[in-house]
Amino acid sequence: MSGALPPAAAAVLAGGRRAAARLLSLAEAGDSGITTDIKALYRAGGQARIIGITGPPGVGKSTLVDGLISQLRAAGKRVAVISVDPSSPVSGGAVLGDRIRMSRHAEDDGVFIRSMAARGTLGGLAPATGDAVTIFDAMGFDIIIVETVGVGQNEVDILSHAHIVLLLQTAHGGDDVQMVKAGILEIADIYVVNKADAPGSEKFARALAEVIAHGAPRTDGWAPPVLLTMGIEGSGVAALLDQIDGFFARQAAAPLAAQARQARQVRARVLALADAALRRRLGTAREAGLEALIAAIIARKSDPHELAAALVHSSVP
Amino acid sequence: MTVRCLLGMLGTDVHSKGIRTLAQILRDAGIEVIYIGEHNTVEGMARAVVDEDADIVGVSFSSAAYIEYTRQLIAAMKRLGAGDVPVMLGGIIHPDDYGVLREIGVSGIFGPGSLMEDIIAFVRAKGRSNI
Repeated sequence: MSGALPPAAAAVLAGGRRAAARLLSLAEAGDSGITTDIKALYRAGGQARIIGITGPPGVGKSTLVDGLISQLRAAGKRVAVISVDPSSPVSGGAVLGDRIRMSRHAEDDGVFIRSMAARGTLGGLAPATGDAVTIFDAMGFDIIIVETVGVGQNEVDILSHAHIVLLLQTAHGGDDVQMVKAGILEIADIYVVNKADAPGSEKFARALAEVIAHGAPRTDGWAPPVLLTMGIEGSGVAALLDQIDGFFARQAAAPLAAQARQARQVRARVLALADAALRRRLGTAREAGLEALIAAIIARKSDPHELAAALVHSSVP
Repeated sequence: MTVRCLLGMLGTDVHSKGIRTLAQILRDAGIEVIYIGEHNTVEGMARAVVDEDADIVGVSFSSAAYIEYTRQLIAAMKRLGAGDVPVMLGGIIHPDDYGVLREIGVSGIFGPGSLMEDIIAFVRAKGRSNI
């Protein structure tokens, strides 16, 4: 990039936490005035490792994140955390409470924790997750941990953002029929059975490992491991980090598969942005040309396919 | 923009019933509450205010040390460049101390007998898009 950085992007690149936090709020509000900043920051990033953590509510995601932060900090890594909790479907409000589990890092300059509300999305993340990752990446955080809302079976948006996905469960995750169902159980790079002191944890982990071993082999050659952890004591966290390192080593050895994954994520990100832009144009904006075309469709002089094709093609340079 | 309100307690104060109830009531009023619970340090809370880009911070006290804690919190927020974020207090605050607290820079004080609708209106009014 040349010298002319937009002011907010320049402040973020200079390490300004308040500027970054403010930019993130504007991204959450869908403010199109920050697009030039986000664009500049995207081009400045690309170094961070993005670790996604997902799993049902109460399974110990935030507590495990706390343990991961501790060990990553001990290894000298700077860590950003994006922690998503649900928005109220009734009021739109939220109680974002994940920070509580990470309070021992509250005074650490090398840690930036941001709580986000899902704001009506159903994929387990917040709409501005991509922009948040862009901001933290540009700020030079080595690791960005993205913690989803507590999920059920079908919320897999984390795949569009994370370089590696950890799925947390406990021994109460159900029997082996649950395990062969399609959905979230297929997406993890590492499976974690947390609260491993609960009775039945090892049996659950064995059953899960069996189901995964029977799955189709992955194109990147990685065989997802199943690990036992007790997040609250930090036990198993070191082994988990070893497996994460092992995964990235494997990715480095299989660059084509890694590139394919990156390309899938870029496609997903572009699709989300294009989708939002089209929704804004069709849903709220009142463009004269668009209004006339809609009138023409109503009069059967045109048709919805015609307008859809025009909208998709007109914006591509 | 959605109003973001950071709520928590400082030091050894553990009477969290009131502030948890407030968190839920603000949630039901459409506000995003960042709830950081008990046992926070002044420095940790001030940093959370910055990183979470809170529009307002609310602290509940049931112990006698609230003047000193609040003074330190506002000083820490100023040092981190967040001196403009309004601070409100709740819990057991003695009316004799209201004057001192306002001098320190507290924007809202909601002692015993405060109405929830007054707190909601106060928090809503502090959202930056409403200023």
